[in-house]
This record gives sequence, structure tokens and C-alpha cells, in this order.
Amino acid sequence: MTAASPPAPALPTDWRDFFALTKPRVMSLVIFTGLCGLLAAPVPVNPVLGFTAILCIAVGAGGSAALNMWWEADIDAQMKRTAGRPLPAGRMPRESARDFGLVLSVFSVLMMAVGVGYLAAAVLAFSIFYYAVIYTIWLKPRTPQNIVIGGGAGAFPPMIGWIAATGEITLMPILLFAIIFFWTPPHFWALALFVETDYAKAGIPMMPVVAGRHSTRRQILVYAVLLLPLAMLPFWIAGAGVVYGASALVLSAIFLVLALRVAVFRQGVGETDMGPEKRLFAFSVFYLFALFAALVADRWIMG
Amino acid sequence: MKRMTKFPETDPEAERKRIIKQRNLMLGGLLGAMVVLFYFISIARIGG
Repeated sequence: MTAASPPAPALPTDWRDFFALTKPRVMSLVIFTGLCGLLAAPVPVNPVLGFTAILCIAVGAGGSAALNMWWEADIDAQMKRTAGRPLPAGRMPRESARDFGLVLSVFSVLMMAVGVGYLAAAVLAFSIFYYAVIYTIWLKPRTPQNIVIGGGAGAFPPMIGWIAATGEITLMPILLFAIIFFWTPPHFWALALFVETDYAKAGIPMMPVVAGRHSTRRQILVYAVLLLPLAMLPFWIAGAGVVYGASALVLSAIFLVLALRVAVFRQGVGETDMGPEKRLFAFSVFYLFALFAALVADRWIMG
Repeated sequence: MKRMTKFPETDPEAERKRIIKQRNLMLGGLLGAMVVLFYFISIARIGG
């Protein structure tokens, strides 16, 4: 963040711009994985308290997203993909985004504590701190491993959902955390490969910018190889049933094949042709949705 | 001949009032929803 700020907008900020600060598209994945963590837990959940838990996860994610946009307004202004956001476009004073993010964050943690439980609230508070401070302020501008460690922020929702339902941290929520943690680098690096120029322009040390395309593709493959056995662990050792096991095996195998096409088997595909990367990125989104849906289906079908 | 698109003139003051009205409605709606939610949370917690 720098001292320079865009000029104050002439009109008051529209509520849609505040909503945009919460990154609604990212929030949909957060809500989905949080809900899956809640529904996959082996205990009945009061619908009102379950709804409250998911609402708190969503509001907390929105708050940390607003803090992220507040801090990165200068960087966003330099990238085509993010230049139209409310702050770089000058539709909102910078302080409004900061205050909005803080209010949402504090509110979500307090409501989780009062309505659901202290352990879930503590993990939610840590997840907001992790994303807004450890990832956004500390790691993202400093290391090409930003995505690896920052991926932890996106890995919290299913864990919080599970803890909200059961009130304790067991092996399964840790595995759910680990699956998203290891899924994040290949997902984001595939994206970073085909928007590389934008990140380079903004001075963000994304892996393709710092280590080059070849090294990034090899690392995508490493994470895809690790993801397959990791995704199977809930079936092997944590009590998930055959519906989840079969789904995890098939989905992870396809993920691995697509990663192999990115990193190894590029016959007929040039170094600058990003077709394999785009296919891997698109599938990675489907992968996470399908894997967690299979976990819930398994719990509700197999009991 | 180059075609020119004519945009409707908007009064800045009217626009300002419209945005503030929408924001107030949204905030009021959210606060109302929170009241209802806290009511149901209380019932759920008391019910065990």
C-alpha cells in the first residue's frame, strides 16, 4: 500500500460496490466448502445454528476480502483483471473499504462466538487474520511461495464448518484443510501462467514471474501427484465411505492427467500455448466442488 | 456520418439521494434480518 489514494468520489458509494468488496464469486466457493464441512460432520446440526455458522463463515470471508482490496488497491489498479474494482476505479474512499472489512470481520467472529461456539469463532478469527495479514500484507508481495502458504486461508471454511457442527478438531477437518491447501497451488499457478503478464506488471512475485514457466509447470505436477493420495486419506483412514473414495480416485486421476499434460506431455502444444493450463484451471474448480459434494453425498447416502 | 449516442441527463443531487436511499433500505433490511436471526438463535440455544 502507498500513501497515494485516488481522488474522493463525487457521489456516495453505491451498496453494490460494498458488495463487490466481499468478492462474491470467491465467497460462493467458501460457502460451498464450509457447508460441506458442516453437512459431512457425523452429528445432527440445528438448522438455525448451521445457517448461522455458514453466514458467519461467508461474512468473515467477505470482511477479509474487503481488507485485501483495501491493502491492494494500488496493485489492483495496475492489472486489467482488477482495475474495475471499486477502489482502483475511484468509486469509493479507501478508508471505507478498510472500515467495512473490519466491521464485517469483527461482527462475523462475535456472532459465531455467541451463536455457534468459541472454538469455531477462534478458528474463524485466525482464518481472517491469516488471509488479511499473513497472506495479503506479509507473504504475497514478498515470496513466490505466497500461494502455497496463503492457500491455507481458503482451506479454513470446511474445517470451521466441521468444528461448528461437532465443537472439536478431529482428523477429518484437518484432512479437509490439507486437501484444499494442496489443491490451491496447482489451481492458482495454472491461472497465473495465463495471466502472467498482468502479475509481472504489478510486481507480484508469482511463481511464473520469478521461477519461469517450466519450473512452475513442474511444481504444479508435484502438487497434483501429492493431491491424489491426500484426497484418498479420508477414505483410507478417516471413515469416509466408498462413494467418496471412488469419486476422489476418479477426480484426482483426471486432475493428475491434466497436470501431466501441463508439465510433461506437451507434444503439439507450444510453450506459449496456454490451452493445457486453461483446461487444468477449469477442471480444478470443478474438482473441488465435486470432491466435497461427494463427501456430503457419502455421509448422507452411506450414513 | 458518425452516430452520436445521447445519454439522458441526470441530476447529481437526485442521483446522490437515490444512492443514499438504496443504501439505507439495504442497511435497514440487513438490520431487520439480523434481529430475526438473533431471535431464532436465542430460541435454538434455549431449546438446547
